[in-house]
Amino acid sequence: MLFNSYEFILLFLPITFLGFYLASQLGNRRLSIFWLVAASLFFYGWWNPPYLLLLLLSIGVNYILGQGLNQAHLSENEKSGKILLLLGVVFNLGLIGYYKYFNFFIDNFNALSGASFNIAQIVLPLGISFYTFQQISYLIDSLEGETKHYRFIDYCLFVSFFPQLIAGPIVSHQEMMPQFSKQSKIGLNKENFAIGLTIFSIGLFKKVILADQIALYATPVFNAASQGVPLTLAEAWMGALAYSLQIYFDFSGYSDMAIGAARLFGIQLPLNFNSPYKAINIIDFWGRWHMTLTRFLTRYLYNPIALNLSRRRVQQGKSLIKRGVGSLGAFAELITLPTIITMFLAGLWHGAGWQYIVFGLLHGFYLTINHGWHMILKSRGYNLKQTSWLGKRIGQSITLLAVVVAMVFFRASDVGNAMAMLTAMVGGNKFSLADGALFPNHIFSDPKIGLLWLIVLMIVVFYFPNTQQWMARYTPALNFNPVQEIQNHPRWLATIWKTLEWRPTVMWAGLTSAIAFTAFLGLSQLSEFIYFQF
Amino acid sequence: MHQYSKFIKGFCGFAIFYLLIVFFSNLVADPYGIRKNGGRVSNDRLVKAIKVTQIRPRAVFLGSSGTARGLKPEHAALSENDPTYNLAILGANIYELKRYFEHAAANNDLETVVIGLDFYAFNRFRDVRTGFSEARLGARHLIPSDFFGLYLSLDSLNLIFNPDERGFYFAEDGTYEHAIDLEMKRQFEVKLVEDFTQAEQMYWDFEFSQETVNHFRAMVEAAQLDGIDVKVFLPPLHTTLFHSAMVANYWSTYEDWLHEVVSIHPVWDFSGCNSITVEPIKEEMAYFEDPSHYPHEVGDFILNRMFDYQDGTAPADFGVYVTPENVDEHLLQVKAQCQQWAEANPDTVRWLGNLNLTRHMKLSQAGRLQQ
Repeated sequence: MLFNSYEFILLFLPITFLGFYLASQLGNRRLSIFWLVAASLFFYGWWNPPYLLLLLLSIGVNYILGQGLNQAHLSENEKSGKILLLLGVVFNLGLIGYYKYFNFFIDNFNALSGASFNIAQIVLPLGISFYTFQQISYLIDSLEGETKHYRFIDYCLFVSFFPQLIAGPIVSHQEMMPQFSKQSKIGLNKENFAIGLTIFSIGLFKKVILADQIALYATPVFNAASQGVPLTLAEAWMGALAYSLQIYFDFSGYSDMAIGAARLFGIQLPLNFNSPYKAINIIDFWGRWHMTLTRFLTRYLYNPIALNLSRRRVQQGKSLIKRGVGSLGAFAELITLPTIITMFLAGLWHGAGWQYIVFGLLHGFYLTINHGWHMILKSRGYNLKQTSWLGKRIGQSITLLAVVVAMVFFRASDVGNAMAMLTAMVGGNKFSLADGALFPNHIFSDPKIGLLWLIVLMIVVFYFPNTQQWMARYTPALNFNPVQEIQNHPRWLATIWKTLEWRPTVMWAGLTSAIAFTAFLGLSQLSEFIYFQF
Repeated sequence: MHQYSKFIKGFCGFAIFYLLIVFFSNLVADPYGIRKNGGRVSNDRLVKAIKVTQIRPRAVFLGSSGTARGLKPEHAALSENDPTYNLAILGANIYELKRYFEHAAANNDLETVVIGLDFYAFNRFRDVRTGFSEARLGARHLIPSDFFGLYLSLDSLNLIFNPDERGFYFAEDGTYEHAIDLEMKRQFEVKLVEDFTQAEQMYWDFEFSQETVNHFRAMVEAAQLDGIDVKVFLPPLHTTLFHSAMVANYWSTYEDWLHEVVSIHPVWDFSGCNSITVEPIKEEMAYFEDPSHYPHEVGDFILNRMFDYQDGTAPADFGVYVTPENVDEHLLQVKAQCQQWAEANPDTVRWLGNLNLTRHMKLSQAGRLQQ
């Protein structure tokens, strides 16, 4: 079931809400949790009922393993704990490996060896990448005995809670499980309802009106590239920028809808998307784009690799990186290597295709350069926190350019098509400013409207506050720091936005309602979220 | 908490206010022409599915735009089947025809169905067109998503504010007229080239499959099971198109296809190179509006022939009843007639050659080889 569908908005959400309300009236917290689990499982099964069994299997096995790990920790049996953890990780990676990568592996094996193994196309279970990662983190933390008090029904909700089940945020048990406990504020109140409704409406508007409209100027360009149409410089840039904005509003819209829908029930989800195109460098970008994936990869992949390599260097008597400064060898081993490995796997996580691997490696390369540059600046005594206004704008422009280039790989059907797009973007095909020569392939019905859309959406991206900033007074998401966000704006702009902040007044009710209703009018053209495929 | 309560009430109040404004604006303006006309042609799959449930016809015409423009339900031969409705939808593939037949049969006491079969409708690469929806077919009433699309959508608002975008409307009987602004020879050039482009999926990359034939078989069998009288015809195509597509490029495929079709049900064949379809291209044409659309005078000839009405009004060579017994002989005759036409019209054949219609097909075949 899609968030942007009539059945979700007019039936599923109201019925789930009503059931939750009735359960809350009975004063039985377990019943409320049970109802949310049942609704979430229905939500998942609506798409493909057989795969509901897969989700239930995954939940069941991981919970049992988690309890085993807690027991092992209690009895200080480190060895059996490690075996159980290994089993759990193999089980989870096995599931995701089979459903997500087996076809890709067979295709490449056939191509390399000349063999012709032929297997049926495996349908990717929705959300498997997300619920698998959440449970791996649960298992790892269970090894330390952190999860021993978790009830099974709470655990089921932590994994399957419908707002975050399909496309994130990748929530941590540490931030979710306490919300289900007796002492938490979970439950219905008008404040949560008003805030949740507003955030959900904004997300729906971003998806249905902004992302889906700008997609009309992205999709035909990539389709034309895949059919071998020689694109002009203007067409290719239009396509690349339009896609960069499409995925921005698609993912931002989805994240808002997830946070808003959860908030209706009094549950807070972590921030997942924080104006990433305002980032002043690529490290900053990954702290704002798919933040919960970055958090997971940093905690459970990057840090362990870097820590192991550091220990090895210490044993070998080699130097480490101190206060961001170190030798070339230390930089290569302790920053470059973990970054490239992590981003390679981040790329692969998005999908089984070489274009995703190139996307990941490209970002690994960007991050390495970024870290290297910071190291050079620090070694010369430069304070990174005192970057000038101009320096920030230059950094922002370079970052955006690098991101747009990587997005071409992300969107293209394969690496060859991405290269064709990039060739056109650097003027590799014919380039002329003559009348009619900018858009000669008639890809767009009206390129001027497309250009107008690009300009308007870029103004929104760069100068508008994001949903959380607009609602900063009302704790719109976990891990959101309103003070830090306001500091990033020029003073005059911050003053304007401060006066236009959302408040629970009748005037804002009218505007929020208009946003929600406009988005509702756009629902007749159904389209999926981009992140559903990952 | 009081302020949140006011906010929620305000939100709901405004939402109802917006909803009523948009709903009644649509109701009054009727941009889709559901109330005031036979529905907007650009939304043919939506409006005809609705209209057929309202009209509850006893006879329907199925086919594509040629049938929709050329066959008048008011034809006297069908007076016993009143009301008759032209259910043809633009550019339909055979699966869509089957589903619309099932929709009409599910909703009405259908007695007669006249099916115009296009060769391209059997192209396995031809998808259902935008606007096709499984959910609405078979439903007796307006389904919720169509209700929202018609009365509460940005598309409908856009049509209210931009009347120029509404385009043509069907008449109540499901037919429509299409005004042509171009000079006739140019019109033929544009349409011939368009029919061979990838976007149209007609004669670009044609491949027919057993699956498409099975849709036709299922439709005929279902009709026969319900005691519905079935008449099938191959619509007239102007010789320039028939020669370029069937004779010059897909002859053996066409032969296979016709064998398959007549093994399921005999057809009246009005295509080929007969005295109607060989009409020279000139500014005032009696039988064609472009290579694949004919006026209702020709449509009347077709219905006269099929229903054995006013015998002798149509030219004798227009309409051959093809069965498994005479299909080979018929195909030989069609090919011979078309070759005769080509020999007698070298200038037209040269003009067709200069249009370079097969360029797109060859490009596509090269693309497939590379894959």
